[in-house]
Amino acid sequence: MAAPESGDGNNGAARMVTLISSDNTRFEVEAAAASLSQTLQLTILDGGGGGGDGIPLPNVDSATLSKVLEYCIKHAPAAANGGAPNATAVDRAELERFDNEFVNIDQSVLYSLIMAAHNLEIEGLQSLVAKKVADMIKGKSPMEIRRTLGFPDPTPEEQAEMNAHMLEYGWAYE
Amino acid sequence: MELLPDDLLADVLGRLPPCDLAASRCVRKRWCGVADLLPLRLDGFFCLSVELDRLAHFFARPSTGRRVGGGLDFVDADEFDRPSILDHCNGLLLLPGLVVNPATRRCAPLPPFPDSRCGDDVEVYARRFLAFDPMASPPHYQVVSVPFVLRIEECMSGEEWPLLSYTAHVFSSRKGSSWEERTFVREGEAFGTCAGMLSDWTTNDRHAVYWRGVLYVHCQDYSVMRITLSNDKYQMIKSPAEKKQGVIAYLGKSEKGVYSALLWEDDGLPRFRVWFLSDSCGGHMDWILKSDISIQAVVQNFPYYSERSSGPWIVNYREDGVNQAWEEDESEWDFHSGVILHETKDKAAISVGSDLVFLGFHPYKEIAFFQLSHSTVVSYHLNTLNVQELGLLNVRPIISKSAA
Repeated sequence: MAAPESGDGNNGAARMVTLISSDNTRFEVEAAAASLSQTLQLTILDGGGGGGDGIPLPNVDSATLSKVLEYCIKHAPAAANGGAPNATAVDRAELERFDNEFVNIDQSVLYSLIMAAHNLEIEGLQSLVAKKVADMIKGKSPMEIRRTLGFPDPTPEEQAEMNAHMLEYGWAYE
Repeated sequence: MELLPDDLLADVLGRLPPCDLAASRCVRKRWCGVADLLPLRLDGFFCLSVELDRLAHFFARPSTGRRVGGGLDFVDADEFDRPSILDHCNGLLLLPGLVVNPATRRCAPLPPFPDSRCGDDVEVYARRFLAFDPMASPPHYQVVSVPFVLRIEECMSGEEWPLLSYTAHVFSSRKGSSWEERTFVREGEAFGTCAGMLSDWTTNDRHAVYWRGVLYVHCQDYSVMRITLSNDKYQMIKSPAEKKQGVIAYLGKSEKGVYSALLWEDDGLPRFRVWFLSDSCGGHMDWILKSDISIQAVVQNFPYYSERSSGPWIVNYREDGVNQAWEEDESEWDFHSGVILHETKDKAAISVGSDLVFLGFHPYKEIAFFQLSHSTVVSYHLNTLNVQELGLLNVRPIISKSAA
């Protein structure tokens, strides 16, 4: 027998799944939100994550996971509409406002987020963070980029390399 | 962020416009390596007009037009009144006596040419070509001055063609300050005598492609001179097609390297045939047929000169000339979208080379650009056959000499 068409929420209530962070915190979310992750979607389609089982995520700590889920819950309705072609301008503006605010955070959190988005294959979240980091780089010199991203100051060798690089073909690339 | 793995770093750097990407390359060695692996993109191209002494026109979206110095106004105007483009390679331009990067608005002068026969501006005896590989580490460019006039004594003596060796002048930005005379030794058998070449070895526009350290120069009988700059060897590659009246031939670069294209009228219908060069069999060069298509449907859809276009690309961006709002868009243009056009029964009266002009290939994707009815520019995807209107280019291009 084929599975019923809407696998989740047979009785009107949305199907919930449990995710377990690396530090053993349990998060219960709607399957639709968790399914924004390509990785989790497969497990969930196979019926995993329900009941008392929970899906362990050994690479994601609870602080990051809660942030990731905040994103997923916000974006789940639009994703369910297939990229929301019918969404109103108001809805889109609201999502955009949310996104802008969402990545207005500390760099270390951005880093954890993009790593988690990558691991969990949440395309939209990875793009959002990558775009934010790209925006942080724009309009800056190599040295300013290093400082912005909190790299240690270059060692003398590295500095020499950077200088040589700029000298050799900086004219073509400046 | 220091620990960001390469694929995520690529995702970040891939979102940067060229100038910021350039700065990023200097941040650290690993970044440079990641930046070099990003797929290159096409944001606009130059087109040389027949009128006004081969004036260069830059065709792109307004956001690119604003960013790139496509008007070449940063080039010293006293010295080079109306800069014309002699050659181009991966974003750099070769002007008379100068190498220019329009994206950064920088110029680098070339040293005076040693052979007094060839002035810097008048290219009577030789044509200059630019070889620039942004992927090479460190990137540098070379300018190769390829003489195209055979010496009379060579022709009279019945010397074999291709010549056993060929002398050209090369300037290398890495080696510094002067032109170097280099002799390239022939590889492969001779297939004729110089006397037989003389009639075809004329002084018209020639085009060249630089691909993986090798310069491919289009010769007038449509054969290709393959000059390997690293080992001073050269060979001639025969044309995939016979030279014929009314056929326009083009040599260009695209996804798989060197492409040869022919555009002609076949019983009143425009046909376009494309080959690419394959060197899979141990140094042996073969032309592989890629496409053989009719352009009739495209011609029928754009039969008249137009002053309006659904595409946002414009020619020669001017700060004060754009009166409509445009989006600041730094992502690459989506060349894959478009529609498949179908032919109608009626024959459109067209003239290949006038109403239908092949502008060139996308340098990294198998896409051809055509200008129709002296105005509309479309992209034509050679694999999906999708056609997309880019915008208006109301200039008459020099045929087979467009720059990407």
